[in-house]
Amino acid sequence: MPKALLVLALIPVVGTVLFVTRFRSRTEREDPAAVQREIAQLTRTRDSLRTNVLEAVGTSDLLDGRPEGDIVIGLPTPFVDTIVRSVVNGWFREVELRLPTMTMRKDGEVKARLGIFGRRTVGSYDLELALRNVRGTLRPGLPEMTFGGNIIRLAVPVRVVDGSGIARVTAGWTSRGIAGPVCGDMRITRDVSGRVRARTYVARGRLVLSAVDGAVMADPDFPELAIRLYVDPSPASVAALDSLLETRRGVCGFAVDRSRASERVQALVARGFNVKIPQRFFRPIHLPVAVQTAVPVGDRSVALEVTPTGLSVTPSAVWLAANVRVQPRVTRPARAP
Amino acid sequence: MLLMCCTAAACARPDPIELERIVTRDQLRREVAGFTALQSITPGKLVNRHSEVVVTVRDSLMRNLIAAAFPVSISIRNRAIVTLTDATVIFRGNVARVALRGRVQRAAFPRVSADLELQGALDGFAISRGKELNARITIDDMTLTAPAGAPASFDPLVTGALQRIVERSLPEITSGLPSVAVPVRIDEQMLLPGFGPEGAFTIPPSRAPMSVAAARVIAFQDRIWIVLRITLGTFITDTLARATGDAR
Repeated sequence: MPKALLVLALIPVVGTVLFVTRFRSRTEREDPAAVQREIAQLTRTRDSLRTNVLEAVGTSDLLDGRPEGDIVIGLPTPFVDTIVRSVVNGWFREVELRLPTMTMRKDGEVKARLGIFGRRTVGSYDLELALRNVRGTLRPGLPEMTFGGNIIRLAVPVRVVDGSGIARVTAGWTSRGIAGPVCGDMRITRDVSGRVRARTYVARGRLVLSAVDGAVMADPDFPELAIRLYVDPSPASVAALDSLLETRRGVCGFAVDRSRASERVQALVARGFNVKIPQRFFRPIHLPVAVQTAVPVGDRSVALEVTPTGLSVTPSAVWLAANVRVQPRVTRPARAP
Repeated sequence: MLLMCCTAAACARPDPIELERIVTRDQLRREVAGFTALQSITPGKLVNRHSEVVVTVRDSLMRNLIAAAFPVSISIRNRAIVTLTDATVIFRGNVARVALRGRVQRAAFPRVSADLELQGALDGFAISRGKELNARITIDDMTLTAPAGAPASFDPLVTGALQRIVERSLPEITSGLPSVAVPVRIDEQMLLPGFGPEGAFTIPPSRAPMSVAAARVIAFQDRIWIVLRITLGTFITDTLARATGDAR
């Protein structure tokens, strides 16, 4: 019984001691002398590390020439280079150029020396070439970029590839003079297919960097780029046209041959066709990080007054800086997530 | 008697000088850890220049953004109410220190209160789904001063009791604090507007997805430096993007 009483008496004591131990304050849990020693040692270590870090930061070229501001955004030159290259690829990616339907005509007279009759007009020819469905694909090469001031100079090789086209050739022959009764007139129509000749052009221009609405914008300044599209008629198509014309024999064959129809068709397309890449094709680039003009705070939105303080392009980075002032509170619902 | 002694000891006010030394020691520990981490990433390694950008924000702006949320009231398990009204932010030695000031009062006896300072750090920088850059304030220390609402002789007891309540509820207070939005917009994608029909061209708009993550955060020279890793995908035309989306 006394044992049980003793245990009962000890319970509150032990409980209280445990309570006090459990809820001791931090100052009671720490040895003041040890804390003092640690402070001295940590101070020495901190000062030494700080000196090393500040020296190292001072020698970094990345941070040179950055403007001052409450918020400063730094886009290293290689990063901007990567983004611009991607966008330039995007400009030209899967771009198919398609020529509008064009019709070309060529006509003339054919004269021939006809033995005792001397040199006579034996007929006239007319050729009509209707170009249909001429298309080519643009493929960009690796752009060359030069950073300087707030300008990035660009030279983008652009190759026209995988192009093809169809031309409907209508060749007419009208006999004249003594050839008339023998040969008569003739009109044939034939589709001639061809391939667009692969060729590389260089689009030269520049991107002008500016700060717009808290973001860095690269505005393209490219003169209109003229591409000359050459279509080479396929030998098989030309041969097919020739074989049709060759069905005429004798005097007629001679006269038609003199019209050199297939040769003239080739001469018509050999000059090529101009395709202009207008300035608007080069679309502006918004670099992906910008200063916000409002932020959510709790369940509302706080407006910010953003004043740009500088845009600088150094050899190492493009820097955008702005001072930001938190506007007096206006209760507005926060943006939806 | 023993019980009373022990309770008095438990509720006694901690020695303010000792407490200040501990706070100083904790701050130094953080600074040393911060400088050690900073040393390993400078000078050339602060940023991977091909895929990372840096956003730096002055401590005064972060202070104003934190203060824009005030006053903030946090109820601690119905035992006390913490009301925060002011903040100090110091970015030094790779430690983004935040001190929040306000008042704590007993829930049951609202007149019993004390001035409160919570010390912590700005951390947990992350990009939200809305492509906003947010940070959290993590509280790891606190001090109480100017007890009120009880006779002066009870001041140590008031301070001690409130100190214990708040000290044991730091995680709860941390989770009750609003996140801090860094005023930086990060695009989710790059857009190229369409073009034409003009001449030989008709080009549909295209877009390239972009993934962004906070790679590292350092605090020095009164600024916080947030390094963002950005990866740009390939441009795909909108028609193709829609078709791919429909297929999913």
